[in-house]
Amino acid sequence: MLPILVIAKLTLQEGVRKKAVLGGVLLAAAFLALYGLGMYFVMRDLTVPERFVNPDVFRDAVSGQLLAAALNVAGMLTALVAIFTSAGAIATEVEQNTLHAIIPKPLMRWQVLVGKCCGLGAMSATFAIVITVTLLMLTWLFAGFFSWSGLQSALLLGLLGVLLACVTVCASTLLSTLTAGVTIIMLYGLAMVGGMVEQLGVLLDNQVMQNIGIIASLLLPSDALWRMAAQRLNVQELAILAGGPFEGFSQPSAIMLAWALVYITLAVLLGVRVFGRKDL
Amino acid sequence: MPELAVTTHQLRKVYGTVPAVASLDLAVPTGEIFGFLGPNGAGKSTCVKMLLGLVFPTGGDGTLLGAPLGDHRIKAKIGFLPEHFRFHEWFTAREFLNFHGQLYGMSAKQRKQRIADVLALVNLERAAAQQLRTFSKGMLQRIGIAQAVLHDPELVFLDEPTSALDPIGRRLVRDIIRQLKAEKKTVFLNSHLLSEVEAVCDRVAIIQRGEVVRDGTLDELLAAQRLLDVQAQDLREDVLERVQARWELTAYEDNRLTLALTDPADVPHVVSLLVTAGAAVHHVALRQESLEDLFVRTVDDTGA
Repeated sequence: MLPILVIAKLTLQEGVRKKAVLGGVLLAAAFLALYGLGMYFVMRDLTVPERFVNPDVFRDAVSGQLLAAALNVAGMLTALVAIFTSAGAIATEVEQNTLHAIIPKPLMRWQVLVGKCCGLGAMSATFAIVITVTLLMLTWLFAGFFSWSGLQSALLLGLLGVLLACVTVCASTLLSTLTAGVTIIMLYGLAMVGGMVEQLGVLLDNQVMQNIGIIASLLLPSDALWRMAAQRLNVQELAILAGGPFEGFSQPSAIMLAWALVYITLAVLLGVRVFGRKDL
Repeated sequence: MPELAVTTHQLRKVYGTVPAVASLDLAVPTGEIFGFLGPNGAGKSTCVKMLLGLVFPTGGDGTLLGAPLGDHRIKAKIGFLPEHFRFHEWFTAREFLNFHGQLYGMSAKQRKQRIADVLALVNLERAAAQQLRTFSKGMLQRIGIAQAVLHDPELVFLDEPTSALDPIGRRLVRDIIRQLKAEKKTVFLNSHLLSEVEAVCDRVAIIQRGEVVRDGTLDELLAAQRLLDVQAQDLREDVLERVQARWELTAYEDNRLTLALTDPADVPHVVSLLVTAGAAVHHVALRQESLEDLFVRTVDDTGA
């Protein structure tokens, strides 16, 4: 087996044993149960106003509204799991000397780092995709509404997980576990606030505010990815909260998707460079 | 196979402005057991880390099995037991060795055979299916040795391999080291337990502030000087000064003094000097210097 795959497998095995993942899975399970329950009762007790000629449109609007709001939570859960499981990827292993028995083996340092990014990225992406697909299934089950393009949302949230895992692993080569986690959480929050400012900028037709949002997305394209995922749910015209309380007025361009992929590559390259020169 | 398994030339590591290893020159012949000694903070661990690519040298160079330091291809021929090694404790012993075997690039068939061999070697066959978190410190150290020799390496670095072991475990490790020597492997042993080093090593180097202050085969080093233990009363200061002017005084306490002699024929001269000076000599015994004596004397001489 290739060294990268051996490290990725180890990282994956280790990751699923972490309390952060267990906590994330339990929270996600509770959230999905709540969502399913809520959707069931909302649909059961829904009274369609008389002015709606086609009641299905109203039902789809309500279920789409709930689904969009739930995707917001799924994005946050994915971010927390990706960041908390990756924050110690290098830093903790350096602190605990676990790498002392691995680096002298016949593999290169970059293979260790890329293996860790692969393992943690795969775990975060799986987490995001499973949650999103489950949300889609629950919506279909209780509301009879299935967003096929929502599968693209699942992939985009998966990419959000990969992005945050890789950036956090990179930070973990430079900073201690706690500092790396806090730094990326703050960066994630900054990107989210930047996204809100951008939306308000669109609403108020203020170019400066829109530029602030674009700069925030360049710093970390997490919010841009999330908004693209929300857009792919295809419930925009139905749900006023499709993009969260301040979003949904404008959508990121495809260039942001390309930037996210470049960003991941740059983060991994920076991590390889720093880790490749680090004294252990 | 190269004549020298490990060489370093003015190997140096500086953290900020503080030198951890000043300038290290080493030559470890292939097939020997080499003891690497020094007081705490002498730079032993940093040196081993530089040799194994964990720490990058500030200056100098070196070779492992004839290849320059950092040569990726040579890593498959090297085994290493780190001193402060934390394991992935959720592995069972067999899973742990399988993981390290995969890192060494061993095939599934090779791993199966070698894992059984090394578990037997370190006497952990019955614990193969046990999770490492249930292991005692001694068992962890033994499984660490097992991963170091799993791929049948030519050169093995053991950093404090017996620090957590009981006497039976220490004997087991001694036997493993001797077996490695019988198989023409080179062992680089870093240990504070001088009796262990003395029992198995062919050659030692003592370092101080990152420089080799004494090295050679154990036989050469220990045969170079004899120690003379003397018990005498009425030893005045001026008598001691006269003794120190001719021989090296290594210890003096409660009318007992120990002198390092390069020539055993000096014994009568020592006794004669003391008696002539009015000291009452009660006991005189000549003995070979132990590695501990040599170590303490060397470290004292070089100002630890």
